[in-house]
Amino acid sequence: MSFEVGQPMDLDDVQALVKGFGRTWCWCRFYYLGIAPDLDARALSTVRSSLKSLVLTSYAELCGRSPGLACNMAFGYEGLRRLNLPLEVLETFPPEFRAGMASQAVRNGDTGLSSPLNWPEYWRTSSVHVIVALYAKTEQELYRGDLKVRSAIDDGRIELVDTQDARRFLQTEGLALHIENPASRANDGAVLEHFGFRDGLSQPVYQGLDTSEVRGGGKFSLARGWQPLATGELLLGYLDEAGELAMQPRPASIARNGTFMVIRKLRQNVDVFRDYLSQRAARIPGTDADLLATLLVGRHRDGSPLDDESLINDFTFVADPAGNECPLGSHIRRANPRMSLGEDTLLVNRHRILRRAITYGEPVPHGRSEAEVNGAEGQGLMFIALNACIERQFEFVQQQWINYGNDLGQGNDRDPLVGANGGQGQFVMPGNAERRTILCSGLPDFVTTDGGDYFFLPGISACDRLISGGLRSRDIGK
Amino acid sequence: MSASRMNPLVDIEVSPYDAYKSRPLVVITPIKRRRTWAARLMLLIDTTSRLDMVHKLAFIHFARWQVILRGSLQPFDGDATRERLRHDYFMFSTNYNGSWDQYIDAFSFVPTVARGLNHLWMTSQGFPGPSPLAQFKDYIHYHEVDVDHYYDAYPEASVRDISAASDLYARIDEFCSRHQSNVNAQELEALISSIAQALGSIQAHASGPGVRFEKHVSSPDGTHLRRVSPRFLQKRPKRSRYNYLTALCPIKQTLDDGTDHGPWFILTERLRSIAPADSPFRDCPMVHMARLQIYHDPTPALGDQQGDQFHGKFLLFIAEFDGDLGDFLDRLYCVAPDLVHDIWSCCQQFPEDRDRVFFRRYIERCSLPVQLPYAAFDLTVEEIVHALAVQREMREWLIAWQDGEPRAKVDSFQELTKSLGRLSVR
Repeated sequence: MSFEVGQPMDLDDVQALVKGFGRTWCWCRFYYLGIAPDLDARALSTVRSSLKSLVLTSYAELCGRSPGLACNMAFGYEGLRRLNLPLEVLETFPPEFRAGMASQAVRNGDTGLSSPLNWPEYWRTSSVHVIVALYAKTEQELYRGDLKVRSAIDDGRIELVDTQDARRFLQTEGLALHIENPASRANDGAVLEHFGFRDGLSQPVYQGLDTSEVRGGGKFSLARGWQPLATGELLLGYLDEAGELAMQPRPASIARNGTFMVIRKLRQNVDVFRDYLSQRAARIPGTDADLLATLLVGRHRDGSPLDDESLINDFTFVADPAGNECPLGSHIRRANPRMSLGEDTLLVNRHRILRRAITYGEPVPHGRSEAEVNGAEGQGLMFIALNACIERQFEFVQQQWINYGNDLGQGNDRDPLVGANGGQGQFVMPGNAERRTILCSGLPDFVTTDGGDYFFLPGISACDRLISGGLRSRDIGK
Repeated sequence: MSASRMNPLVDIEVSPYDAYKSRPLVVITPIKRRRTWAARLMLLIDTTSRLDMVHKLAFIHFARWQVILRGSLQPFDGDATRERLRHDYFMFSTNYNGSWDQYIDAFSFVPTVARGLNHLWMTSQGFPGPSPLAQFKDYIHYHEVDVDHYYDAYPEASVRDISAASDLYARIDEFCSRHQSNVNAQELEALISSIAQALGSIQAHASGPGVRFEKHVSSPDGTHLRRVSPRFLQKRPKRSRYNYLTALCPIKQTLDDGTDHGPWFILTERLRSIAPADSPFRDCPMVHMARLQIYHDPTPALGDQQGDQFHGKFLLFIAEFDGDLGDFLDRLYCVAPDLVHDIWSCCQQFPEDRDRVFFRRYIERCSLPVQLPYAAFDLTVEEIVHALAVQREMREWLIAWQDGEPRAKVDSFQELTKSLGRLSVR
């Protein structure tokens, strides 16, 4: 069952989301489905055939024939329970997945404005049992797919709890997302997020998947240079960096090629971001709000690193141990410290997550307010993280690196960009030859969590087994 | 941990110690039969490189490893039957930051650490080795002893925080002595940017985010007595400014007044009822960290059907402090004589006389030798608390003055440094 170097991976069995939809499939809609409780055998078989009628798109398909429309499916714990999986199988799922994200709110920093009390009820109560994600190249394709999904689930047993539209947007000539300095914009064609930065740049690279960007994305050691991470850090059924299998559901056939998916609706408070930074910059001669923004993020808007010498993703922070160029507390250094914690990168390698975020809401151009553009719905990111072990990977990064600063010597300071700062946050930007040391205090929440949960994104054949039923307790161990 | 309550929104156990950055851990494992000599040998050889590694990882305030001979696990009561014990015991106690569960995951694969862990516990019965990890964690939790009362003199600071604060203090100190009264604005900016990375806000955890509390698996085991041997203190002059105490006091089997609950139960309740803010150690300025816990019957050794069973239970008293043991105990007695009597009167042969000398002698009688001690810093409580206060002052000064006009900034900095020496230490 274990993966060995050179053994071809079964990419037909891995869902396409693992590959990522990039800028090509830029139209997206999530369907949050609920399955009625305590269904009898007949009703359950209706549910099963409804879900089965949705054809899933694989990693390999996305590389090869490039369909206009792609569909993926993930399950919450309650969803698996309602699909009547035997208790013995359910118990093999990791505890944090079973508990759900709302139960981890305090630990994850989902407090204050981000508290589950402010989430829609279906997130707060883990009532999204199945997520279907449609990605399309064009709006027409999405519309076509939408009809398919709606007719498939129209069986009276599956409730469409909600839908969420999302769409990637690019830097175009007419789009200005800067605060004060128009020159700080990203290059035309860059995939953006709402603060105007190029997004999704630094991704981990795994053995057996696309390894073309191993420099900067893989793991670094002095002896061997850049190497891809072990597949088991992402996909279940393969060995991880420790040479072990992550805690995974049994039987092995339902785990293989699957991964755990964290989905979070992160609202980006663009007005707050711009107001805070312009007010702060006004008190510092020779600087502007956009420069402060780049220090918060740790990159320029076009994605290039702050030291101006490194390639876009091929750097280690070794030359900048005290954070005089890229502050130790900045977002990118926290999310992926590379070699900030020393030459031994094991601590980093064991805590990487694959991000597959997509923006929702329209970009808010310079000079306009959120409310004018997006109303109460706001704008932000459907944050998606894929990892083999939520507790060890996503939760660790979220708890120890984003919402705490100890490892990077930042005391209790949280991530200035996405941390739960609640108006009390602090961020230190050590000075260098060009600028003096700047300390930002009273940081508000630039990003707040509006909901989300933990899901299991199975391999395609495993998905079929989960939906079909018929798993028995005696299968465990196979 | 004790005295927990449930958060109504999410069923997470919240303990009064969750705000603390340090967490206590005691693990007592049975040593394989006839391997006690090997366990002692392991604590004597090749310890320097191992402790250097612990130092580098920077998440352990204090740690110590010690062998508890079965002879010292006997009750004091003259009439009580002697326990028939098959094992000697190996005790590891520490105060560490963050979450063992989350970090050990990565650390146990660092070869030096893995080798160290393996050497230390290889003589323990049933030790599965540092990997696979799940088994190692289970083993540690299985043999863990619950803490009933815990005290930390600087709960807001992690090892890294203290290291940053003392580094900042040293730099400012050096700067001031070099420049005396004529500081120019440029030099001041250079100083600020050199200490900038030590300016993180250092505070106790507010509501818990950022740190995980342990899922405590209750586990018992038993132990006890002898004097702290000064020989081991002298052997390690490098870490000689701090002192430590491990005492195992046998708890009475029954109380004279014939109450239903055993004395250990009453004692547990009493210890857990002491709020962190009311800890008697708060008034002992020499104490870094201290804890009191009940050591129940030993956990049956894994892979050893018979295991040991004690009939008695022990009060485990562990403390890290500056200076002399006698001074510490005298002080503790003086600040909280009633509490001391409440607690230790549940222990066997604790003198009825209310006298600090008796208390000191009793604790000395119950103390165990420590084979391998470790402390992250050679700093006293006073020095640590002072460095943290300087760091806080400096940070607040920078927030207030960073955007100020250069000359005024320099003046206010000089004002500040004059006042730094006067910072109240506690």
